[in-house]
Amino acid sequence: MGLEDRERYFRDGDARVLKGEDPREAFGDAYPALRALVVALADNKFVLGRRYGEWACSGPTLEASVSAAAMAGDEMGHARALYPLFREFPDAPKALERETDRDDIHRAAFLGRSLPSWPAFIAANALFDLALSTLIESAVDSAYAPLRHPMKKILQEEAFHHEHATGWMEALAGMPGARAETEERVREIWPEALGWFGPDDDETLARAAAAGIVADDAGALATRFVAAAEQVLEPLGALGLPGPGALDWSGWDPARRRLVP
Amino acid sequence: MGLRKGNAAKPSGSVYDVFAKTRKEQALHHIGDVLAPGKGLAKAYAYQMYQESTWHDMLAVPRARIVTIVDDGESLPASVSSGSWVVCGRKEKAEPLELLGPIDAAGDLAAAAAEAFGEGWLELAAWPDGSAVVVLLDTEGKVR
Repeated sequence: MGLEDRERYFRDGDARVLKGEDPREAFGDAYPALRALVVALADNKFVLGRRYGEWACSGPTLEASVSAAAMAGDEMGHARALYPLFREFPDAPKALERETDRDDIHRAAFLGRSLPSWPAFIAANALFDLALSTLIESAVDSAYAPLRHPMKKILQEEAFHHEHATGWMEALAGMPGARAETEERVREIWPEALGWFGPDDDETLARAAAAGIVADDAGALATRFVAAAEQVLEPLGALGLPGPGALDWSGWDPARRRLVP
Repeated sequence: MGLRKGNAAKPSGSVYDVFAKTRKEQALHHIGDVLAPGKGLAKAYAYQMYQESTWHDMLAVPRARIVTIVDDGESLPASVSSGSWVVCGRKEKAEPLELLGPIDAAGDLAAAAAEAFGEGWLELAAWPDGSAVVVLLDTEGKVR
């Protein structure tokens, strides 16, 4: 092992796979789970950035518009930090530069169209962005070392996305003209955000957790997401949103990690 | 329909003045302001509005809490309850307001500020210690 390799091992602690090494050999049966999670995360970030960006000139205040633009830039940046990892996966799809680049974009169904209102933007920010961050948090000490650095940087920026969502949820809950629609958008996006983790026995996350690619399986991630989401949604009061056990999983697409066809 | 159509529920808000610095050894200086309905959004907006530099520290101070001590070279009466205050000032119009440091004031804020930081200020203002929202603290450039 050369000096550079030793330095990388020192820096990456107990990681099993370093940059430039073939993850298929190290992870074996868990390799498809690694690839599936990275592809779904990158594609969802890419498209979420696009949807945020559509509000860069039309938020309810100047600050809201600038924040939408900044968060769009962040999400696109997160996707661009993840796409280079595709080069490590021989069977990965093409990295996206445009939404039309592939027919099989691994994104949530609601991200296939524009967010129709500011409450819809905030619901996506509060729930779906949070769901992605919950998985990212679980990968900061991943056994797949190339994931570690982007995950930490992404989480630093996501802390401000979370502040944005929390502040706006509070503001919208206090606006008679917007509260009802905010509740409606939350109900729409909730199953897709919670559905991101899959059913409790989701094989992809189970294998990824067993291999140390992420720290938690689907059930643990969903539990953590629900607890965090309840705090953000607290200004709206009790909405009676369904837990993972109450979702209809008949349309679950494990390849694209989405609940709604 | 939501806010885009009709914009029926535009939130009111308060102005927060944003102070930041790019290096540890620099003084925090005024870089702009944001309008936000609460502290959480003020924090998010300050971070997202002012991304032109890699900031080491950033604060957002509610303007309603800022007491003007000197305005355009003229001292203003500023009687305050005793406590710790954070003072900022500038001597030239072309300079931004710069954070000078904390003082303990009991009654006459102007006298306490003059004693601590001298005379000849074009603008001098202060806010109660603890009233600022911390946006970034000692990031060592890790966050943009």
